[in-house]
Amino acid sequence: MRASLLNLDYLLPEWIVCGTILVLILSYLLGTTDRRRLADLSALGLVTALFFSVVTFFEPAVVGRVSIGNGLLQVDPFSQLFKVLFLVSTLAAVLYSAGSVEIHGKRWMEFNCFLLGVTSGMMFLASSMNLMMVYLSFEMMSLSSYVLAGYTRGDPRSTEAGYKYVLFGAVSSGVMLFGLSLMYGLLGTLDMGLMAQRTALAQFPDLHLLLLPLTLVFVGLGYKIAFFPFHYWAPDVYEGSPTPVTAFFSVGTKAAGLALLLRLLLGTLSLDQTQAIPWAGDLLAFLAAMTMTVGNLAALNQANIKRMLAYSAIAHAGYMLMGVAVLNVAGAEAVLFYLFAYMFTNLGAFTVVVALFNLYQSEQVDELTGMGKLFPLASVCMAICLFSLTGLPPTAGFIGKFYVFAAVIQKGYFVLALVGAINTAISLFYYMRIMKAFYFREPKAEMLAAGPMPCGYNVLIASLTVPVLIFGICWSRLYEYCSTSISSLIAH
Amino acid sequence: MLFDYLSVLVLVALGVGNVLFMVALPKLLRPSKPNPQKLVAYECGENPVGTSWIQYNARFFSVALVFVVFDVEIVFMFPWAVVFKSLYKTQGCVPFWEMFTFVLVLLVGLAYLWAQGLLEWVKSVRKA
Repeated sequence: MRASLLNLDYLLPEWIVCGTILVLILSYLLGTTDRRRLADLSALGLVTALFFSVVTFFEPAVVGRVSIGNGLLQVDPFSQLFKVLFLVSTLAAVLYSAGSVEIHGKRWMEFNCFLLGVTSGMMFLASSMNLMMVYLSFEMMSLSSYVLAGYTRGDPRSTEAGYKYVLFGAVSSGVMLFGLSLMYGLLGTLDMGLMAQRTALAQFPDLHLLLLPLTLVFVGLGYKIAFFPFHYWAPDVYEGSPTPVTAFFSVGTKAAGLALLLRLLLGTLSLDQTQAIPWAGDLLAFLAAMTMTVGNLAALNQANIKRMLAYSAIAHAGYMLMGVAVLNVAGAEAVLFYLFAYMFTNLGAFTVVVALFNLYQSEQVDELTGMGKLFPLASVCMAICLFSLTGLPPTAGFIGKFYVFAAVIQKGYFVLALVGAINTAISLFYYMRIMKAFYFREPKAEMLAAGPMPCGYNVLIASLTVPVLIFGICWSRLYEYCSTSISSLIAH
Repeated sequence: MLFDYLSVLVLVALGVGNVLFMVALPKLLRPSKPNPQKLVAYECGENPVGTSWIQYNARFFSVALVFVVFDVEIVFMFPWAVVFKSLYKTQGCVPFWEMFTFVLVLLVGLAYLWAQGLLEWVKSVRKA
């Protein structure tokens, strides 16, 4: 659809995702109720959108940053790389929830629509260049997530998760909106590109007044990314939501929040160039240290795999926040790379949890013993993913942590790096507890009765784990793409 | 420079002070003679029956939701309709197709609601 008046053809991935929602509803109304068929439709739409995102990442016009809708959206390598991330995580979500017993067949089509709704919200958020668009896409993403969190009808935990998510989310979004309005008042424009020019040239001597608006925006972003002290909703929501949904939240919405954070701090407020807000880096470093510590210490005691992975997701948000706290190009590239590594790793680990729940209806580590003997492929992949979450070579998680720590140490935040190192060591304990249950215990007698792992799940788990190993060994190409994205973000 | 914001501080102080004043002054001046009849919840003059927190039927919520969605659709169509003539002169048929797409998306939603029986007050058959 050539709507060159507003450059809408660069938004082809978003068009395709939204079009897939319509196609799903129409085909459902016209009689396709087969779960497999609907999943194939969503997957097809997502793969097409993924193709166009990748193609536009390399297009020269996009490298030069295309503005759409008179400055509402900007298509640049930064946004396209994040769109690739979102689409891959949604694709994995559709595939592993297609076989999940937690999502009932009656509402499978709507589940896909909500997933695609969250994805389109995230994609618009990565491209937003206007404060109003930021809020609109943030809410688009959040509202569909609220429904997804409470998707299992009749399950009190799921309803509680949805309820808590809505309450926290509504309040945090409201506070964030207030902060955005104050930013508008201070800087005189809604357009983030113009704001970048004004802050870079230090035309506004009162930039220290950004303390209040920035803090308020941090509330909203902190809620989305789940860093301290706004992470309190995460364990309960992650535990109560259906496992496929938890996996999607832990990767997708977190990445979207980080995209917005990077865009705001580095792109709009140019904090890498100006010393206008000298306390920003230290505040972020403190929050990162607290987030890591809280996440890791709380995960030590968890017996429920989902809750433990939720706390680990909080801890990883802390590691990523370390990369943001250094407020320079190296840190931002490290965060982006870490996000990719984390996405594959976390999705792989959660797919194993989903598959095991399908077979045994259990999430307790004590009950899932002896999986190494029963499901060798899945257990090996789980081991690789857990090693990657800890940050051991030769996995992608190690490379991600390496880059983050390098950026932190180069900037001079030695205490932060020390806290990060101690936390990494602590995290090994609870990740290995799962490995202990899988490999060093015998399977319970009733476990042997359940069937073998479905072939589809084996394929999915393996295809999510292979990138973890690949990016742990030859990561330079991916890192180059991250560099291109960040340089497009910062170039004014 | 911060003196520019002095008026904001005065506004906040007056606002908060006004409310506190209006609550505190009567509390100090009025007599307090509670009586079981006076403390009963008001229910249009009748004696209240049952609890106040009841579980209402979800169909009220669903009607309200459907109404809001289509009402907002109309709200978006109003400004478009007002400027349509001048838009047509400068951009031809493009604005028409844009609004057409918008309405089409919402029509698909309407079709879904219809098929699910959410437009009936009493749901007779629910599609599986």
